[in-house]
Amino acid sequence: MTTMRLQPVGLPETEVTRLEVFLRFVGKTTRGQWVLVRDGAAELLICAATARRLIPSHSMSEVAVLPEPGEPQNVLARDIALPPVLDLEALQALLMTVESRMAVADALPATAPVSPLPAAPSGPALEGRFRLIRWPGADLLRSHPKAVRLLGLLARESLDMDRLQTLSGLDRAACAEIVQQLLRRDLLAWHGCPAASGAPVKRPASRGAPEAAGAGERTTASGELHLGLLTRLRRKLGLS
Amino acid sequence: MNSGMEPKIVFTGPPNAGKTTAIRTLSDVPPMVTDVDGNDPSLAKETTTVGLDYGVVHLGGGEQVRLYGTPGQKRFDFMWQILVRNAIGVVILIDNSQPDAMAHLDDFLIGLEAPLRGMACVIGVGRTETHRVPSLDAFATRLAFHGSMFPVVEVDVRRRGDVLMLVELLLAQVEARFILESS
Repeated sequence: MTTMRLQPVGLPETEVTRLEVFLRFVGKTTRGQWVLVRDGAAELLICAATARRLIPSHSMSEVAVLPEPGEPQNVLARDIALPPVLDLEALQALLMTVESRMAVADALPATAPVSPLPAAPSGPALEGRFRLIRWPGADLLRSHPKAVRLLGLLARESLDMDRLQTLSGLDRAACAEIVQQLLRRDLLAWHGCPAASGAPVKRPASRGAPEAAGAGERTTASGELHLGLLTRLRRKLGLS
Repeated sequence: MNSGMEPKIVFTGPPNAGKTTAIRTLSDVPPMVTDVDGNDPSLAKETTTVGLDYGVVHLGGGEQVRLYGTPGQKRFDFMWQILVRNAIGVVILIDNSQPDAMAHLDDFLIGLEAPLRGMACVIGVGRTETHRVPSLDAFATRLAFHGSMFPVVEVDVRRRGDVLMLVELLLAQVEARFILESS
């Protein structure tokens, strides 16, 4: 069984004890066993907001920040913001979030540098390829109605900006804005090495984003038939 | 989903999640329902669906998209699989006011595990305005735990706009598949 380490940073002893107790109940997951460590390497750091600056920016650990009333949040984009009171359910949700991030990282090609950090793509060019790791909430969908089609594409395949623009039918500025929004919300994985044109892209195994059918199974004609049906359904329902 | 896709959308979820209401919101005709008097006091509703709900969206020229609502009880899970087969997509509705809302999601993800592979799906969580927990994020995390990544949105199935968003999210997934396959 895999052992995963959780390390408190700058938390009062009462919070650390609470974490230890909670881990007895929710520390065992399908991926492995979470244990609390006081020092050394750890997959997850739970830190007080005031202690966030103690964690180096190059740390590979996931960071969850426990806010303190009246204190600045000091939460970075990649950080996981915790509720003020870390109860059993919140801790369980946190562990699952971290595990899902680890699963995504494990599934991506080891040779390609992967970072969900918003800072990774530099400048307006947004180099590299992007892939959705979690769907955004309704707020983004409502503020960007055209984002839904783009999200459907990114959920299935890692795409660079050129291909995303072509397939979605959106202009580059709209694509870039939506991608930036997703990056800010930590919803995209970023592949730094652009794939050769037409090269197959390995994707994390997910029921929502299964491997594409092989060439022999591709049904372009029936696909177009179905697309026609979906277009008529959209029109009937008044969808864009 | 394969090329044998049938023009149908399936609404599933536990009893009282709003499947019948969602179908009524979209259907061009009054939906056919198979409700009977409820005998489960915990559900706080007078009737519950024991067969299936059926509605239809007419597209013209005799073409139509069928809307199916499954019975919610787990003992009818064999029907979930039958109805979902070859559908355009599946909407899983969850009632967040029920104490075991997360367990309900588990039930449907497990009950539909095989059909959901490659199929468009969206999770609509209702009654979040009065019951914030579990959060949408917690539902999304639970999906990841099951190896799935589907949209999770809060929904009030009495609002047509909310139901349309569920359909939009399904269609976007299906269209993406066809677009990528043909590109």
